[in-house]
Amino acid sequence: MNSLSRFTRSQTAAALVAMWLAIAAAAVFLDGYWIGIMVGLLGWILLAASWNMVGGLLGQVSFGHSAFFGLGAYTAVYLATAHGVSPWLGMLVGGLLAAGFSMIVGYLPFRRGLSPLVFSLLTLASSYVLLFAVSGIPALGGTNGLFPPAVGQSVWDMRFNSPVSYLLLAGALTTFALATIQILYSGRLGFYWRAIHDSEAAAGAIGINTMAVKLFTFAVSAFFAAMAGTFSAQHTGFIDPQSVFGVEITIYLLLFAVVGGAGSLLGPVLGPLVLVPAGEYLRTALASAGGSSAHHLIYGVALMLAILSFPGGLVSGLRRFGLTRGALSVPDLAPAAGSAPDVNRTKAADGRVILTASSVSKNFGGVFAVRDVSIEVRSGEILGIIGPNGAGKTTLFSLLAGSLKPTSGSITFDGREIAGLPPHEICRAGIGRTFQITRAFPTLTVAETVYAAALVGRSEADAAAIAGSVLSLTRLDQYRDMASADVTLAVQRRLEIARALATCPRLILLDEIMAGLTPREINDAIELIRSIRDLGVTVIFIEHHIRAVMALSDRIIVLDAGELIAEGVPSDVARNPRVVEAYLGSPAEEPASPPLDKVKAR
Amino acid sequence: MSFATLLQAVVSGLLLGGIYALVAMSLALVFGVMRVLNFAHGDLLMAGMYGIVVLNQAFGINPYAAIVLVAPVLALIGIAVYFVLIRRVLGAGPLMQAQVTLGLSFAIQSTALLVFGADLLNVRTSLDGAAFRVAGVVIGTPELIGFLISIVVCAALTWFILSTEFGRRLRAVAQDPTMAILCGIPVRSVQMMVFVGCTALLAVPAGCLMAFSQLTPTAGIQYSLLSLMVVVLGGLGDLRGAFVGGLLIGIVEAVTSALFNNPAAPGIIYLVFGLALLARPRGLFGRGSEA
Repeated sequence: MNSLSRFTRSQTAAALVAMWLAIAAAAVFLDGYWIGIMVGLLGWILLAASWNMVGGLLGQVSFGHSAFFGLGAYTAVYLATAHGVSPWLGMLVGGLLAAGFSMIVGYLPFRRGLSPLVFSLLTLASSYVLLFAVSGIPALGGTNGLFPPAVGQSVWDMRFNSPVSYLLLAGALTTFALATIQILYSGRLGFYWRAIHDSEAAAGAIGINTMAVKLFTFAVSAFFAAMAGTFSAQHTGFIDPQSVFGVEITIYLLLFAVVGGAGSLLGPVLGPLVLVPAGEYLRTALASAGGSSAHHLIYGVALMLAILSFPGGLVSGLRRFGLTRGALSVPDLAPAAGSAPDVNRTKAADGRVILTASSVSKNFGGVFAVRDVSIEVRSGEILGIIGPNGAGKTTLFSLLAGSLKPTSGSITFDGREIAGLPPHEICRAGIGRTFQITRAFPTLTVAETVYAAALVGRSEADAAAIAGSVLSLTRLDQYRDMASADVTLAVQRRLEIARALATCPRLILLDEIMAGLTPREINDAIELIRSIRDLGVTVIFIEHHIRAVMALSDRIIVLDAGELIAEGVPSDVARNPRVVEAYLGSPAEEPASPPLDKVKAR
Repeated sequence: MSFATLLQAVVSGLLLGGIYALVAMSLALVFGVMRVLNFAHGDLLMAGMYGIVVLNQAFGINPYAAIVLVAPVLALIGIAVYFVLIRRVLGAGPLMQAQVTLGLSFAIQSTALLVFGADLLNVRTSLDGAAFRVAGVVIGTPELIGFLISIVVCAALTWFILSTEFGRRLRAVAQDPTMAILCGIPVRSVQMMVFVGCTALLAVPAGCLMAFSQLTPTAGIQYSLLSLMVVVLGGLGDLRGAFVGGLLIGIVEAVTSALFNNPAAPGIIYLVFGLALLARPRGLFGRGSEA
């Protein structure tokens, strides 16, 4: 299914057809006043849709979209008045400036993974910086503002006599933005957005370069917001710092998007569609009672009510009429025809060393979570990691998978240094991982989750084949269409494994995938791990369940208090006095400590 | 830019910063105990300031005395806001909380506009314009009184938190609400009392500010942003950070407006804030939570 046919079948396309019918009807039947209101409505839809890309789809709430709106408005009007540049070109320049500015604002918070709240406040601060900076620049009119060129000289001035011309232009710009967003959403970006929105750590672990996706999305969003700014300035015929950079713009945006349904594709269309005419009606109806402030009051109350009572917005309220938040495009995931998923695996487990950690340490403040640990892992083996709680097992995994950087030491995978690489690069190098506390993508279905993981860095056809065979290998076929949030713990654990497998790793890190499972489910998990190894995937697993560790492991390493205290085949490790001591206490206190493999409940 | 001008700016900024510190401390306390970042904090402050103005203009009550009358009214508003809004978003995502309180901010601002109009309002006191000089630096008497009152209240608040039974409970809730429940602390009622108390406390900075400044309906959101910046800068939930951050923002504000006599000057505060946040994302003392 190509992107064009996906687009024509989307609800966005239907909405755009409806919009153009409304535009045609308005042009024929309505007078200038109502057409003006409709132009404003389309402008708000454009702006709300741009905000929704980051605030809704990606889950990074920007409180500073007025910065981009204002940049678009000021760039075009300034270039036109001071340098005679056509606002059509000014719109492009303003859009690019806004995109560049957004990348400056977003770079550090995204790079450092700062909390979304910090991102929100930084964006808010950035809009205030521009508000005051522009107020202080006389060439930009200072606090007095600027006027675009007079109406009616040339089409290149983007100033029209007829309100219908503005209506057509607003329709074209809105169509451009909504169609672009829909096309991006029904391609691979849709999966990346939803994955990042649901769990950023898991998105990185399946190889998504979260920072690049966030920056790109923020930049596109800023471009559209600036486009709306240029258009609005040309339509209104006057701009000043407060009216384009002011926080009111941001509050309106939040209101429209949240009431419509943030995170859905059509929410930003529905919100303004209901609220802009209602606001206009209130403004005129309440003119005697304080006009615009009364209608602001009602907007503020509506925002609170919408968030508290209808968190999904109008879109979720209209779900029974078939409206969706936007369907992801999952192709037919053919169940495996017996063959294992392809890929860059060395089918024959040749036994050479694929992972080496040398003297790896990680300390938090003065506490060593992992101290001077060296391990070698051979391809095709199953390596078990055991140790008491707090021994540093999960920290070691995090170091291997890139979610933590080692304080010292080196880690090589397939001869390549990977210590300190970000998670998505380690995933792409061929290491998959699961999370001890499962991190599903709650809003994705099981099939969508696995397909998303397979999609990173591959063609859609390859991804579909891989996802299909992983689903059947992990026996998740029957759960395909269930939301990841709704399946049982055992299924969630299998889904974690499936998600990691779908990235086609050569080495997989499994973190306590048996915790909380019933004995029967544990037997299934043991079989699953064996079959993963039989595919040629090397397995390292952390497990407290001694029976499973003894049954599965070719070798076992034991950590205690961050240090590696034993290493070897299961029967040797189980008899190692230091291991017995770590688990059962010192023999001096308790005379005849039996070896671990006799303790286990067979 | 002479040294004298700079010194004057630092002193004026410090005096104003003392009041900001109190506003920020109450916001930080609310955040610490409830994990809700209240974007309407400044608007509640503004509601208090309108209360001070009304009492002054209608009955000629001195703004400092009016604090005592405004505080119970703010407490009632705090109770209403807590039960209608805040209680429902406790434990919700930070962005949902931000959006709800931003909606409240907008509602308060438009109510103020509806009731009082957009005109500048101020109060009349016998201290209007009173000032004295110390080593060439002009110190406004109302500014100094406001600073002293705020510092005393900040100190009292700190003592209250550190040394009373309720203060201990409050700190327990801030550190680990689950553990606090297990220890038998009625977490929800502690949170309610902290929210109401912190809202009522805003009467103090409201009175102090009204004694020398003017009021418009947009003041609320500006105070909200200013105190949010201070709290984030100080480290979310860190009271000491909020206090120092308040003083710093006051000084930065005064110095930038003295250095650049230009409408762009206030933008520099936001720029400084952004840069400081990037350098120390966990606050001045690095002890704040990640939110």
